[in-house]
Amino acid sequence: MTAPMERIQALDAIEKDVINCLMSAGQALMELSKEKSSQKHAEGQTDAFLKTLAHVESKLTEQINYLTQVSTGQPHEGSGYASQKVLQMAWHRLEHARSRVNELERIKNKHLQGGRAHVSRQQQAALTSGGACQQTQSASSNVPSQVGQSQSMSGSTG
Amino acid sequence: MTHQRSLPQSKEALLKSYTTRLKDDVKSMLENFEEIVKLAKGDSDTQLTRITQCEKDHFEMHVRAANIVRAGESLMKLVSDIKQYLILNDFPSVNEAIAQNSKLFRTKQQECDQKLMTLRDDMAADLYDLEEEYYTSIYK
Repeated sequence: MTAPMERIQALDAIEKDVINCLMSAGQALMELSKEKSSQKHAEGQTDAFLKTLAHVESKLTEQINYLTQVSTGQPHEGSGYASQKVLQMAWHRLEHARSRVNELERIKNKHLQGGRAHVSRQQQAALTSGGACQQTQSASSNVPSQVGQSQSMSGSTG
Repeated sequence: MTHQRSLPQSKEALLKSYTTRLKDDVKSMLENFEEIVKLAKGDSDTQLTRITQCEKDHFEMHVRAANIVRAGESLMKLVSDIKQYLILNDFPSVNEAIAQNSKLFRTKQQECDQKLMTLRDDMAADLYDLEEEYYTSIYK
């Protein structure tokens, strides 16, 4: 835990102690207001109230004394802007490289798709030209067989 | 060991006012609590009638309880003011926070640049192979 946050958290703890102090006081007085009040409980709550209040006072006095020692009255002129700017420029460099790599990816995908389309068109062309040749070949060779088939079919039905 | 610093009058007065407020609030809480407990004892030897005395005690308890709560709220405000003063004027903490942030930013920047260098080296190696492939192909 860093020193700046430690002091802020110490002050947060003091705030909680103030709230606990008020609650103890309320509990003590509530105990006294009962018809059958427990003296031990009332005394315990009162002790808690007094102890917490003394603790709050001592801690706050300590914080005020520390501030009296370290404060100069001048405004602080330090800043982390320089290193922040350096990081921002590094981030811009990274984003630029990322955008160029994405552009390369896009070009690569475009070429791959174009290549695949070209190959599929070639395959289709090959199929259609091959099928046409086969049809012409089968047309010239199958005419006697078709006639033979028709004759056999008529024979079978008849 | 305390150092004698020449603070501006306004800052010194402000810190003194914090101390005064703290002492006043603590004193108020203690006194009012003590008075409520004394009232709870009940004093039968008074010149007022019983009912009037009860009403008076009841009202006084209300007022003192409200005073305790007001003192508590005033303490909370004091803590808030001290936090604000700490953030603005605690130079050692502010210096440390700035140094820490600067270190973090520079570390992140070095990591970014290191990753970019690695990417550059990988792409240079791949480019070497791609160039060789391209210049030995028919598409050159």
